[in-house]
Amino acid sequence: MLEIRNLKISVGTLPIVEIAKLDIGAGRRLGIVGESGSGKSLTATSIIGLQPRGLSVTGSIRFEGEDLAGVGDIALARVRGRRIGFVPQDPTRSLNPTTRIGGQVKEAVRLATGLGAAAAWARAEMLLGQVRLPDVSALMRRYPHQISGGQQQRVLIAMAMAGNPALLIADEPTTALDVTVQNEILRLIVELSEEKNMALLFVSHELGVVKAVCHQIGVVYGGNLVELGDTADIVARPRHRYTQALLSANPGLSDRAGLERLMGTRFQTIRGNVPPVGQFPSGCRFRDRCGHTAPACAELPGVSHAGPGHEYACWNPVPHGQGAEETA
Amino acid sequence: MNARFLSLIGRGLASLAVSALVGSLLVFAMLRLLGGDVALIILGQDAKPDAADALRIELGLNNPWHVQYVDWMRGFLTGNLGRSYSGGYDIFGQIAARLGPTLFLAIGSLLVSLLLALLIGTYSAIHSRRLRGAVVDVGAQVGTAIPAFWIGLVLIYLFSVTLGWLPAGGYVSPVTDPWKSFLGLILPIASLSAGSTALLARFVRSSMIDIMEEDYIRTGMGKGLTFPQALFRHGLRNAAIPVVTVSALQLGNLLAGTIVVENIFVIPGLGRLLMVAVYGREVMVVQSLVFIILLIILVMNFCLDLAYGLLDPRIGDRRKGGAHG
Amino acid sequence: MVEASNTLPVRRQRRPLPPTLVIGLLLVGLVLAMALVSLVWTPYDPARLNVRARLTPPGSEGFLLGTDKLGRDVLTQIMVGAQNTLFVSVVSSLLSLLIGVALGLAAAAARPRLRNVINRGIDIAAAIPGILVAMVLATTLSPGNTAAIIAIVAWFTPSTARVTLGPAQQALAQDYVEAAQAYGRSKGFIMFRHVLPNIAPVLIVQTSVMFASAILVEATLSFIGVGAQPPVASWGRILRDAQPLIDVAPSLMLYPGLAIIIAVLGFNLLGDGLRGWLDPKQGGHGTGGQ
Repeated sequence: MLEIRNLKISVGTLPIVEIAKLDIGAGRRLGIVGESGSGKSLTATSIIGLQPRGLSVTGSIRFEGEDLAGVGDIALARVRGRRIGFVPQDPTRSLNPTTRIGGQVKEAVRLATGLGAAAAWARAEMLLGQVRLPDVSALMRRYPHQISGGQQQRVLIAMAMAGNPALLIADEPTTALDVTVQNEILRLIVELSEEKNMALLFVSHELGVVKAVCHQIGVVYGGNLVELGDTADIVARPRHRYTQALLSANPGLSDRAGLERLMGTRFQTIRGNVPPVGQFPSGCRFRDRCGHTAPACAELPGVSHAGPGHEYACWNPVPHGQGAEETA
Repeated sequence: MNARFLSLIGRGLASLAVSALVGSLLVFAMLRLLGGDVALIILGQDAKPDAADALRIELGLNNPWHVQYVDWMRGFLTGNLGRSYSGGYDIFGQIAARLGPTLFLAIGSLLVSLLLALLIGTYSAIHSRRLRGAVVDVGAQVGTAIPAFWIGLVLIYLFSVTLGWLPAGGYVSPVTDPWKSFLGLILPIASLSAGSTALLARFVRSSMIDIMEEDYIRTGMGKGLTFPQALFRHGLRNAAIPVVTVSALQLGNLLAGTIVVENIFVIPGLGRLLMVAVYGREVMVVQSLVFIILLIILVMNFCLDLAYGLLDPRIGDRRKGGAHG
Repeated sequence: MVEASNTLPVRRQRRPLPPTLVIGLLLVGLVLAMALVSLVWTPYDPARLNVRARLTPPGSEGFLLGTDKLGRDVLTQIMVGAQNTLFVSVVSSLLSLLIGVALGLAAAAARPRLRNVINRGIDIAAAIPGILVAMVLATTLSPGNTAAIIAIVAWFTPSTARVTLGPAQQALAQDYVEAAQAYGRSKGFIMFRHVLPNIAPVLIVQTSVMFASAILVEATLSFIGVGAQPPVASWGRILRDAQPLIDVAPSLMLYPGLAIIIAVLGFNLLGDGLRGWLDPKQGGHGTGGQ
């Protein structure tokens, strides 16, 4: 349904993201995992032209047979909200502070469906009920600052569902929320995806979260897709050294994840930091932080197949049968 | 009318009352204390003593100061502020008659400059990376540097003297002849609003550039709006909020400009009367006029405060966060 | 999200002067040079009337910018007028700086109750336009430069106090200031030693902006007749005399107007440039996220 080929996102002449191939099937849930600055959010938002202004996107993004790359804002606006929904990262900043909730949801409905004002209002009420918000008619008269962050994110999800989209792009939808609220929102997204047979492109820095939500996982590092496969394969049989490091750094227990965020020690087990854009080493971009470098790593690794639908790009992959390392 | 807005009105009125009280005391004190004997200022230093005595009795200058102040304030409520010494006119009557033109000029140019500033500022923000944005920026810089009265002179020279399109002065009430009134107000309002348009446009521009990066603009685009549509529907009102604050700070400049422009275009407003009274050293007229102009500023400030509260639902709202959700 | 550890240590280097600052300096320099030169040399004696050469158009022989209705050379008048403009704007700006900073620092050091009262007072004073003060002074005392200066000081002091108060309160809340207080340093010492240097950049910019506004106000006041009185030459005054002759000699109002614009623009650009140059943090901050 969504087929991305040779996607290249650049600032001026400097490429930030280069992804050769990434597909999502109808009703499938794909998670993109990576550290801050890996380009995972850029990849997701650029599909519907919501990347920061000034970045150029080239390549081919075929969605239901139509190429979305380079078609321009006006053509993309017709796809956004109707066939592809978008859930942003920070709900507290993503609702217009000066407009009531009802008005904002109604606008989404009208744009997605072309319904008249009264019908759109009724559908907005229905959508807000569908995301399990209580006392909907009172809520619609509220302003965003009068409701909690979790409720705001539900409102945003309701708006994204306005056009019954075939694909939902969720850009770290729970990062800004409390741990308890996080789980409820994640459950809601998964349930909606199952009920409506809606595909999901889910972006997160927490492997544990992605593992719980998605059928497939794509791991990005330095703007490159380094490994892609079914969730079970990636978790049990990672081949790329970066995936392996991520897995050992992130056991995936949600309480552990919360604790780590609290302590600010996330990914501490991976040596060093992600270099700034444009300062990655040549060849394999992970090689300056990798504990298993081989001479070949100075060259760009090609794509290898580890099994059906399981691909990776590594010169010195994790041997078969060896899961996450005890220590990295 | 919700509770939040009623409380905003209440607080605004209270602050208006306090400011008006302090302001009137300041005006009163400045005119009574700085120049010495008020009767001698009005009559001139070489006035005959008995003439001065008669004037002192007429103006109540022998009363204790608080009695004089209360009498003055009472005059505003009863419509009796006395007569001009040299002009012979009824001061309150003149103020009432001249309030219209002044308010027309001040409010008209405030609205014109707000509207133009929003348009120009938004345009230049969208094109901030291109030459067009820079042109607006430079234009705004130069625009704020031009004195309003000079713009008035240039406009008179261009449109009245050279082209003969518009009247160089005078005032026609919009009730008698709306078209003539409109034609007569074009040049005064243009010269009055040019500077503030330039200044406000710079604020709209920077506020818009900030807002373009806001997440809720992206949310709007996610719903199916194009970037300019999202900016217009979700950005404009949010960008207007700081602009209202800045225009409130500009009210003093606006009224100062009104006084000057009235004098250039011979508009029979409060500013023109004030100028005549200053030249005639009519302390009592100046005192009442200065206070009335101050009151106009305070009332307009109150209105802008309310507009601010209308634009931003977060102002004065105690229902924050999800506790009530 | 660039991690600092991976970037080179920022070396203290001389930042290039922003173009606004350079243009501002040039324009201000032009006005300043004009005023200085006029002290020792002007094309004609500024006080000399020449009835035979009245209303000469610009560019005529001997009169580059023409003459006014009394036959005085316009270039000479503008050059001498620069003195008055700079005098009034510098004196009034520095006075408002002095009083405003003292008021702002006092409010910053005051108890919250008293600070609120001072704040309210500042708000009310800021609402009174300088032109009204000037008119009151012109009525009770006499019109002239003194009235103009007092009016400008009365108008600008509240805003100076405001820009002082905010940063001063911030500076007072810094750890090292609290430490100094714990060592028993007096409030006055702390203000001068720790707070004032911290807010100096803000004040330099404010002063430059005040110069610009003061020039505008001075021109306006002398234009309506409550500022400089003849025989003092002032740009606003020249324009006042030019107004009745607008259909006969329009060039009379052109050059003084341009002089005002150049001076105001110069100080405004100077202020803008200094703001960017003294405070590199102003260059925008990231919004977080990616």
